[in-house]
This record gives sequence, C-alpha cells and structure tokens, in this order.
Amino acid sequence: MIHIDVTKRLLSADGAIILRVKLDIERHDFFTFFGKSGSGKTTTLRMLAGLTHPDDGEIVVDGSVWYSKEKRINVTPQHRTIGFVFQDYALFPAMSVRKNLEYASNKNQKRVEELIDIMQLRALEHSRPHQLSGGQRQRVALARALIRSPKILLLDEPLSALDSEMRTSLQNEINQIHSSFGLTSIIVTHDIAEIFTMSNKMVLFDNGTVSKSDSPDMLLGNKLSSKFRTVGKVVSIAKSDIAVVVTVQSGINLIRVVVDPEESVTLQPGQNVILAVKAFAPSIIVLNKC
Amino acid sequence: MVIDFLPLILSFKLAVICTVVLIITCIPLAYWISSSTTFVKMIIRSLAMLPLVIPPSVLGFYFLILWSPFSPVGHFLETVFHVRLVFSFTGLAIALSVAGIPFMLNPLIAGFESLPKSLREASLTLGKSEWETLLRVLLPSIRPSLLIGIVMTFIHSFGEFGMVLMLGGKIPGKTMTASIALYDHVESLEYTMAHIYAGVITISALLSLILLFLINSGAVIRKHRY
Repeated sequence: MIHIDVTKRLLSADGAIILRVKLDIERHDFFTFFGKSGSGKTTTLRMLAGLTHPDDGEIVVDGSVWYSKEKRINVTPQHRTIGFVFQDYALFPAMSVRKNLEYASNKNQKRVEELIDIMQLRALEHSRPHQLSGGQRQRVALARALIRSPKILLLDEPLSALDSEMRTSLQNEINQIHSSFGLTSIIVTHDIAEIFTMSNKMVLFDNGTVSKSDSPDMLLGNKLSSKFRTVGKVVSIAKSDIAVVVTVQSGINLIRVVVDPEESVTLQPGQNVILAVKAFAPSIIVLNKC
Repeated sequence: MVIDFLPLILSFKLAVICTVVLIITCIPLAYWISSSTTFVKMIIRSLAMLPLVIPPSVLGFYFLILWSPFSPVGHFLETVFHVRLVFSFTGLAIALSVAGIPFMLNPLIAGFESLPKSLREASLTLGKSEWETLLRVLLPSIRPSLLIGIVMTFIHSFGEFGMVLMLGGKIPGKTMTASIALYDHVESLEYTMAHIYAGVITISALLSLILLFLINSGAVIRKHRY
C-alpha cells in the first residue's frame, strides 16, 4: 500500500499555492490523478518517484519509508521500485529501441526479450527513437519502465500526444499490463474518457487541495445507475421546434441523441459529457473472430 | 631550404594535451553548470568565460607573475615540487588549457541545456547513477556539441600566440610553437618559411572545421532521413 502525506509549495498560474496531499492507494489499484494544469498532479507523481522533494511529510510504501522529513529519510529515485513513463517518452536518442531496454535491464537479456515480445517491438528493435511514431515510442517507454519489474507504475499523461485510435489501443494495452504484471498504477490525465476506461479509483486536485479518493463513477458520474454509458465530446447542437439533436463524438463514433430543449441549454459544443442510456431490451450481436 | 618541423610538432603536442585535459575536466563541469541553479554556478560560469574576453597576452602576463620564482606561488612550486612553470612546456600546457576552457565549455553547456530534463530523470528512475547517466545517456546525445568543443579547443591551442610569447618565450623544442616560429621568421624577413608555417596553421584549421561540419551535418542528415 502507498501512503502519501506531504506538503509542497507550488507556483501556479494563480500564484503560490500550498499543495497538501493525503492519500492511501491500495495494492493493485489503477489510480487517476485528475485536475486542471498546475494543480499539483505531476508534482505528486514526481514526489512519489523521488524526482521532486516534498517540503514536509512522509511517503511510505509497503511499510518502508521512502520519504520522511521528520526522520530525515529520502530514498533516491534509483532505489525506489517504480517504473516511470514520461509525457515526452524520454527515450534515449543515441540508443536503438533494444539498447534503450538493455540499458535499463542490468544485463538481464531474458527480460529484454520478454518485453520486446510482449510490447510487439521485434520489428522495431534496431530503430532509433526518432524513427518511431508517437504510439511506438510510448510502447518502448512502457517496456523500458517495466524492465526492472517495478511494483508501481507511474504514468505522466502518457497518451496525451496521440490520436484517439492509438490512444484507445494503448489504453487497452496498459490495462492488460496492469493486470497481468500485478501492478499498482497511477496515471495523470486530463482525459475523462481515459479515467473511466483505465482506473478504478481517482482523486481530484483543485488548487492545492486534494479531495477524498473514490471511484470515477462516484466522483464524476453523479452516481448514475445507467446500464450503458460512454464518455464523449459535444460536436454540434441542432435545434428544431420540439426537440434538440445533439451529436456526441465518442472515440471514432458519432452518436446522435434527441434531448429535451430545456436540458440542452446547459450544453455547448466542445464540452466533455457522459452519455448514459437506460436500455431495457438491448440487441446483443456476437462478432465472429476474423 | 630546410623546414624545421619542431615548432609544428610542439604546437600539435600542446593542442592534443590541452584538448584531452579539457575533455576530461569540462564534461563534468558543463554538466554541473547546466543542471545547477545555484548562484555559485553563475560566478563559475562567468569566470570560465573570462579567457574569451580578455586578451591572451594579459592572461599570459598574470600567469608569468603568478608562477615567477619571486611570487609566493612560484616559490612554493619550486621549493616543494622543484617545478618551474615559466618558460616551460608544462607551464604552457597548463596556461593554454585555462585559456581554452570557454572553447570546450560553451558548446558542452549548450548541448546539455538543449536536452530535455526527462532524459536524466528517466535514467535515474531506471536505477542508474549520475555518472552512468552522464557518460552513457547524456554525452552520446550531445555528440555534435562535444565534437565542436574538441575541434575549437584544438584549433585555438594549436595557433595561440600572445600567451605563448608572454609566458614561454621562444625556446626551441620547449616553447617555440608554430605561431612563434612564424613571428620569428617574419621578423627576420624570411617570408618563405613564414608562409609555410602560416599555411600549415591555416590549412589544418580549415580542414578541422570542414571535418567537423561534415561529421555533424552527416549526423543531422541521418537524423532527418526518416
């Protein structure tokens, strides 16, 4: 279990704020840090990795103290068992994909081969990072972060620079890795859809205060009891005499729904929304495997 | 006409020694300056730039005073280590290394500063020490900057004149470098010999620069081919 109870002075767009984080993250949780820019999400992730020093408090992971102001303990990043995936991938430009993994592996060739296969990097192993697409780079970054078999995976907006198709496919891959490697994962994201797809717990960062953690449904979904639900963005709102047709983009799908004119007043194009449908008799069609 | 190669060999030896000394000392210094945010860093960076803005003869003059057997430092070196640095090859090598610091340090600092911080941090989270990160991740990533530093330092040390004249005099085989020999021949109106020395210095500098740009542009072409 990860116990974080730290404070850190931050300079945000609104001036200096004191970030206070008090969180307990259970083993095997997939946790999301959500909030606006400058609210301290990445800083908290970095404090956990040992890349930024808290001003006060303590960080305890599975009973061992990683940071304690009082006891003057600050375990270096090298000795914290974490995998960190950076927003800009941070692949070493002078090394090939294979060399990036070997550098991290401490000569454990078996592990390198294993991760090259799991992350499907065999065809790319001799390429340099600048020859790869964004999605490929992120897969290499993920493989490299996992090579030392960390117990905790920290992901700092790992998919923000990718298109929606690549994003969805990587979300699935990360989910599978999280389960099969038995990881405790923490992701920083701005994407509401990503929260629902990936994490079981989340916490909101708001101007330095970090509210109680809970499931995404409880914190963002207003306790909906719908059977079907998707997250998307309002693309257009077309008004007619008696109803309003709202088009919502969810992934690569465009969904048109009829909305009460009164209800549509609160909607604007570009807004992130949850689309919930109560279906009593859904059609279920089995797709044949190709 | 007999060409005396000794001044050219001496200049070459001095340039190689200075370049090697500065590679070893400036890489950690540049890394520290580029990653540090302390006030001391600003002072050290300004001090390291000083040889670029003050005339070499002034720097040579200060070394001459500092290392003279009548100064406390020179006296100490002579009585304790039995070393006299004025008018000696070792003294020239040390002084030229100091004068060459900005030529090596500047491109290295620019190189390190151009790298995203996440490279260093990623290496640390992978369990690597600062040294291993510097030598295996960061330095290979700034190879063009390192090459610029090496070539500029080498050319500068090979052709330096004012400081050598002030500090080394012109002892054949010890401190008579190619630039000093050139000056000597011009003074004696031996223009053929002067042309040979001037030509060798100019052509070797030009060739070094062409080589530098060829290697670095090759690296750039490779980088953008895909």
